[in-house]
Parts: sequence; structure tokens; C-alpha cells
Amino acid sequence: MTKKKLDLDYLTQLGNLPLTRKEKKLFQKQLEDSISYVEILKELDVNKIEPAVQVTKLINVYRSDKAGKPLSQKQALSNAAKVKGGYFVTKRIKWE
Amino acid sequence: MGVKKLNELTIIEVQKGLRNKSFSVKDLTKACFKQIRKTDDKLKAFVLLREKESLSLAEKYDQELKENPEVFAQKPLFGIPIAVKDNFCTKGIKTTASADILKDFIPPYNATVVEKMLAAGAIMVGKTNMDAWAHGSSTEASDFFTTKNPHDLTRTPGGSSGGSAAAVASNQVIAAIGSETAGSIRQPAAWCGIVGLKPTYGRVSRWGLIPMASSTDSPGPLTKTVEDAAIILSVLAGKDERDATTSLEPVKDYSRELKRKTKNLTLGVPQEYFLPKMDEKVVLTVKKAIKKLEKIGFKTKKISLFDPKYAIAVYTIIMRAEVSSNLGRYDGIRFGGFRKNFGQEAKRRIMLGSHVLSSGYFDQYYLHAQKLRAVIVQDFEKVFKEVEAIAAPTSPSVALKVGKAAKDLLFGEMQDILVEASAMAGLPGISLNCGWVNNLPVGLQIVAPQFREEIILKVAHAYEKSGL
Repeated sequence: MTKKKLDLDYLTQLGNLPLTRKEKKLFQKQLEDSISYVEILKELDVNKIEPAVQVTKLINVYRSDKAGKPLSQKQALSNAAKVKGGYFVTKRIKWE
Repeated sequence: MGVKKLNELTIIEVQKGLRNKSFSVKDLTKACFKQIRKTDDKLKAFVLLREKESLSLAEKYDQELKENPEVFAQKPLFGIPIAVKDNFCTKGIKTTASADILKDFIPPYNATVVEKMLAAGAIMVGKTNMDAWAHGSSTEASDFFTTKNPHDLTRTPGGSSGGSAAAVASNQVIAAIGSETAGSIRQPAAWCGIVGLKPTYGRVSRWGLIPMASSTDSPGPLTKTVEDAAIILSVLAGKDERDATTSLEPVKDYSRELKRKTKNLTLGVPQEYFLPKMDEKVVLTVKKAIKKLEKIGFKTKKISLFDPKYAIAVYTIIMRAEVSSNLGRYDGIRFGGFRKNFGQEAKRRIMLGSHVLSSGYFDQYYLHAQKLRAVIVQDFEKVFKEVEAIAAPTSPSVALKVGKAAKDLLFGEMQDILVEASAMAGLPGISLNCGWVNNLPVGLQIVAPQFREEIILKVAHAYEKSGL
């Protein structure tokens, strides 16, 4: 078997995307095709070029040091899937 | 030509009519909803309509106009029925970005653009369909349904602001708001035969806009005329403390700028933008339009720009990297549904974006692309030393048939080949109709240096005024 250009298991982990087996098979080919296309860039030498960080040349953007009006707790929770006692409810997060 | 129906009017014509008491705001709003009822079963431009709310606001405005006939001075969009792309947050009104994950999302706040538009007196008649998360150029990537092109229902209106473009082109509304990351305003405007203006990056606030690629996202108007685009831009533009990338550059009165004489502008015509495989009739139509610009009095000059075939790759990498980061916030906890419900296009973009940013690949893809982005910026800077603006086709083709997008993995990126470089450089661009091929509209785009929207508006206005 030829070496795969993309490690889809790793990418689904990075993107936190649960994929079905069927989707994985489909995406493997599609994403490898897309990557092959963008490799056209390697034809251009960028050795001595500084990367663009932003394009409008703004520097030191601050806002005035005044407190704005935040969302109320009720508003902030209004779209949550699950709420308890004024908090978002999440699954347990555990590092292994 | 018969008398125009109310819903067919432009902003300027509406304001004249309201001033003369030829009709009321309510008459106008009713006419728009009548047209929507008549056409939207087939067109499917809207994902949400606000008929009751719009009519009651219209009544209120009729009263206000009676009490204050000079209201237009304070409210430049007074009484204008406007459609808003569904990726702008609207307080208390469902905002989905045409994505399944957000199908029940009701924002607790308004986007700055929406706030400004409403403060200027506009009536938000509804929210328009788009490619989900703005990922696409045809509305076929909408998780809900595909919008059709008003000029040919077997074709797409372009995208991602396809619903907004179709609504304006079919006279369902007087004007619409869209957003562009690279092409999403100009391309649907071209395919629907209307005016689409993408302002300079940072000219209009992104606050409350559901993001696609934050380093190029730019909200802007889709309108029937260039004059109308100028009016809306004057309302939307300006510094917003809630979006740190908005500029302090003073906002011009774009409508007044239109009236000032254009003198000796030179337009650059990039040879690379007439692609080898492009529809020949589109090429001819745009070349004829450029000849016409010469007749009006503009000088033209052949110029050379960064090859668009590389711009696609630069854009694809940068945009997908930003998409993967921006869509990271959808955790199904604070708002929105679960990540497994992303559509296929979103999933592909997240994974490719994660790949180009991942350790071991960052330098060869993302960093490489950002370096080429710097090259693109410098390329335009060089060209703008010789010419004041650039004139080119907006899209390589006229509107394509429904179903084409599914066959092409980089469909959106390929369709937007002629607008990606200018979008990445943050430049303002406008697309306007410059002719027809097989009864389908062709778009001409004008691009200028950053914060010089008045130049593209003036050139486009001069073209429009001279008659097709």
C-alpha cells in the first residue's frame, strides 16, 4: 500500500470531528486531491520573503478603558444545550 | 417601458417617492412581500421572513414621516425594505448561516452592521439563504436548500451571498446586505446582474458576523445601482470598538463623492485575468465594456498581476486554516448543535485547515501561503503606482447550472479565481453588470487601493450612467 498523504484519524482528532467510516473513506481521497492541487505553490520560491501577518497595517489598537454592557447571565445561557443553576453543563473533561 | 412597480424601485427612487407622498412606506413594504410571495416558492432566496413585524414598522415610519418630512437627513435608509444574509446576528431573530448546527440559534445581540442599518431606518424584511457558513459559491452548500437564479431557475445565483443577490435581482427587496471572504458578494452580484460592493477589509465592522476567514471577511451591500451601494456603504462604514480590525480612516460621504468629477483616471487591465479556459463570450463582453470605459474618458493600460492560478492555492490554504480555527468554537455547549452535524463541506474545510496548520506541515503550507500573500499585497502596491484602479471580469463564466458544485472539490475557490487575490490583499472591489451572454448577466469588476472605495464607485457609476 502506498503511504497515505493525510492521516485522517489524526485530523479528525485535531478538528474534534466524529466521522463515520464511510465519510473517512470519501474524505481521504477528496482531501488528498485538494492537497495535491495546492502543492502548485511549491513552484514559487519564497525564501527571502516575510510572511503577511495582516494587510491593513493597523498597530496598537486599543479600546477606551470603559466597561461595556455585557450580556446578562440569562442571555448568555439562552442558547445552551443544557443549563443547571445558572451554569453551562458539559461532559466531564479529563486528561489522560 | 411601463411604470415601475414599487418593489422594483431603487433606494434613490423610493426616497423621492416618499418625499413626494406618491406612496407610503407601507405600500412599498407590501409590494415587496407581494413579490416575495409570488416568486420565492421557486427562487428560495429567504430562510426567514418578517412580514408582520415589517408591516407594523412600516406603519410606524409612515407616522414618523408625517411628523418629520426631513427624516431622510438623519436616516439615510428610512423606510427601505432590506434583506440580510443569514450570517449576521440579529437580536431575538433566528440566525443560522444556513447551517444545521445553528438551525435554532437566536442571538442575544445584533451585529454592528444590522444595528447601523436599523438605526438608519431600514426595514429588515427577512434573512437570506447562503452556502452554509459561507463555504461555497452557489448556495448549493446550504444545509437547507439551494437558491435559484432569477434569470434562469435551472442555474444557481452564485454565492455565498446568493440569497441576497437573488432577492435584489428579482425585486423582492430594494437592497440587501451580504458578506465576502473572497467573492461572496461580487460573484453572486455578477451572476444575478446586480451591483455588489466588497469594501476594504476593516472598513465595515465584522462584529456579530458569523466568521468564515476572519482576515478577509468584509460585509457589504448588494444593490440595483451603484448610487444605492454608495448610500449603504456610507451607513455601514466606520470604526467599531468591538472589532479591533476596523480602521480609523475617516468615512467619506460616498454619495457626494459620486457627484464629483472623475479626472484622468487610468484603469489597469490585467492580462492574466482573461484566463485561457474562460468562456469566450464572457471575455468578449468584458473587453467591450473596457472599450466603453475608454469611450467615457478613462485611460486604460495593460498590466500584469500575480497569476490567479497560484492565488487559488494561497487562498485555499489561508481560508481553510482560518475556517478550522473559527469553527472550533462550535462545541454544542454554549450555543449551536453538535460537531457531527457539520455538513460535508465544513468537515472537509476543517480537516484541510487542521492539516495545513499542524506540526510538520505548517511551514510548507500555511507559512508558505502567508509569504505569498505578502507577495500579492506588494504586487498590487506596485501596480497602483501606475494606475488608479483595475478593471477585469468578475467571474470566468456566467451562472452555472445547479448541480455543478457537487462535482468539483474546489468549486468555490475555482469560481472565485478572479477575486481571491484582491480579497486577500484587503482591497475594495465592486461588480456591476456589463452585458449578457445567452440571456445571463456578465459582471465587470473594478478594484482600487485600500480605503479608496470612492474610486471604484465613481468608475462604476460613470459606466452605469452611460447606459449599457
